[in-house]
Amino acid sequence: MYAGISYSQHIKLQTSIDTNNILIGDQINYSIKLFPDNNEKTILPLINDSLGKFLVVSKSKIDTLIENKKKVLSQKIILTSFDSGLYIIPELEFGFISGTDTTFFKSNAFSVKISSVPVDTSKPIKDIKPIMDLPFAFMDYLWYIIIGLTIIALVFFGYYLLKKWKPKVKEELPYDPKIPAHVKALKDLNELERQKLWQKGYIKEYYSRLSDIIRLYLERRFAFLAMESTTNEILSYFTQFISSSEITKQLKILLEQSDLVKFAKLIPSPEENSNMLDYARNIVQSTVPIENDDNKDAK
Amino acid sequence: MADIREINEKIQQASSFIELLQMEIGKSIVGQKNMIERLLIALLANGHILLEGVPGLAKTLAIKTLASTINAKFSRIQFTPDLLPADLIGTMIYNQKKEEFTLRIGPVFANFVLADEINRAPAKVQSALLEAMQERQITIGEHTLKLEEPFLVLATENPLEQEGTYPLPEAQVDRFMMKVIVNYPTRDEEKLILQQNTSKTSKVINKVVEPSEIINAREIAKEIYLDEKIEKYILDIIFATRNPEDYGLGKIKSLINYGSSPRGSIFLAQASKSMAFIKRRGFVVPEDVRSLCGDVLRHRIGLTYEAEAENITSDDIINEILNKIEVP
Repeated sequence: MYAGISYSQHIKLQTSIDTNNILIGDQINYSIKLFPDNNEKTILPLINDSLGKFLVVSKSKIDTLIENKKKVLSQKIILTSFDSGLYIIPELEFGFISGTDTTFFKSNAFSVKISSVPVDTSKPIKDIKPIMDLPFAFMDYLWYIIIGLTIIALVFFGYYLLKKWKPKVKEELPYDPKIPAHVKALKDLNELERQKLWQKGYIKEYYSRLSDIIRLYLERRFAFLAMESTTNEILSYFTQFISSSEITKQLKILLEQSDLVKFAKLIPSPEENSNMLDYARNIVQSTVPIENDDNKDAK
Repeated sequence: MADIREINEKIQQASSFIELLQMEIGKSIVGQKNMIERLLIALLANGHILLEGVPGLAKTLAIKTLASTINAKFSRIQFTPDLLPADLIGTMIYNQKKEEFTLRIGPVFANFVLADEINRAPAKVQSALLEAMQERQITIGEHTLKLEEPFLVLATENPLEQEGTYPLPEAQVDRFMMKVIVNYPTRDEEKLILQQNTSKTSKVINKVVEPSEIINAREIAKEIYLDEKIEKYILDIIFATRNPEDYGLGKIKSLINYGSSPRGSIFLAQASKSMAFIKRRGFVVPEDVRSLCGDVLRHRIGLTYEAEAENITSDDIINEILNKIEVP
């Protein structure tokens, strides 16, 4: 330790270096300590990136300490040099302001010998060393692994949420499943009668609606795709469930008559129009499912 | 109703040859009602037909018999890998005496052309025939010759022995109005076939129809009433092959590579009218459309690899669609 102390009535300034002999590029710790009185302010010299022939590698912030009940301002500066020779760390000037008086103190200058690395010229020049491989350290990669796993987990979680929360297309039924098929069919037939479509000249619409009501009823009542079936297909299915030839005949007449009106511009007589509605009602009423006694009791 | 009654009367008068045809064909063909009905529909709708079935199901015989019942020119061309377009459409031959090129027309100049095993000839021969099918005319050198009406190409192919064949490209197969799958006869039908072919008697097929009658029937078939509800039904079916998700058929979207072309809707409407004619009706009903959907659309729907991997056929797709689209 090489130190310099400046005094007035007591120690005001103390500077020191840890060595005065370094190899080129080595570092010197330059320590500054100021001991102002309690009401004194200080003026510090401006230290930029060099100090004389020395380069400032880093400098700490000015630290304020209390030593033996006295305020101490402390700063550490790391210096280096890349020129060999004997160089001086110049003296620095510090001011202490007390009231209207300012007193300046200079620190000591330090001489530092910077030696270059001794080279044995008798030996051949060696090639530069190859890049060194550092041993594998799990900790070096830990963050990358964590980030990678987090991204994968987020992607899977996002995919899961997308699958889970994908809006499900709710197939809308053209009817309320709680209302029994025959109840709805009879209600719709009453509504059709009330609308007086054929009386107003809407014959095609009347027969389209009439055949749709019956087909929807058959679809719900006998569980086959009546809305997607042709007249012959419906009759073929119907005869599998219903043995009554009279009802089958009425259904055949109704559907065929509807086809003729819908696809062949047939204009039936008013009597036929009202007969078809009666046939439709009869088909529904004759095929209403019979509730068994157990079910009745349960109700 | 008056106009439909008028059409009905016309049909009654003009359709008498249908029964005669069916009777004559029935002399040599047992069963295969569906195939014969489709042949008649193609004849009436001015469309061409592709029959697919394993060998020995009377595909060629049915076509030959149909041609024999009509007083028209019939040609049979056996497609082979070494066949050339000139063998089909004809060529210009140098006449040394006259010192000029003279035209020699090929077998395609007939009313009924049977293209037997069409997939055995290379693409350039297929395309020469398909050009004739589409344009109904042939150009040889500087001569453009119209083909005589009725002109009907009836092609056959068998689904076996695919080695060394040239499958028809989608664009060309699209020109056939129908692709009919010919199935095996029933046990009773086969018994009758056995008896017919082992007996001494041979039945003579008579020419019972004139080409003019067919042309007249075609004109009447065009007049058959197709209600807008049926038009909508046809369009719904065709569009469901293109955008199945719009019709609640999202599950088959991944199975369809491409849907039917507009030819599909045109041919489906025309074939439905012809079906109505055969049934002696002046109007089309949904039954007509539904019964022909498979034959008109099966070669117009492209399947994805996914569908092929799951052994799903275009017929399965069509059935799904028909079970979803509401009948008017």
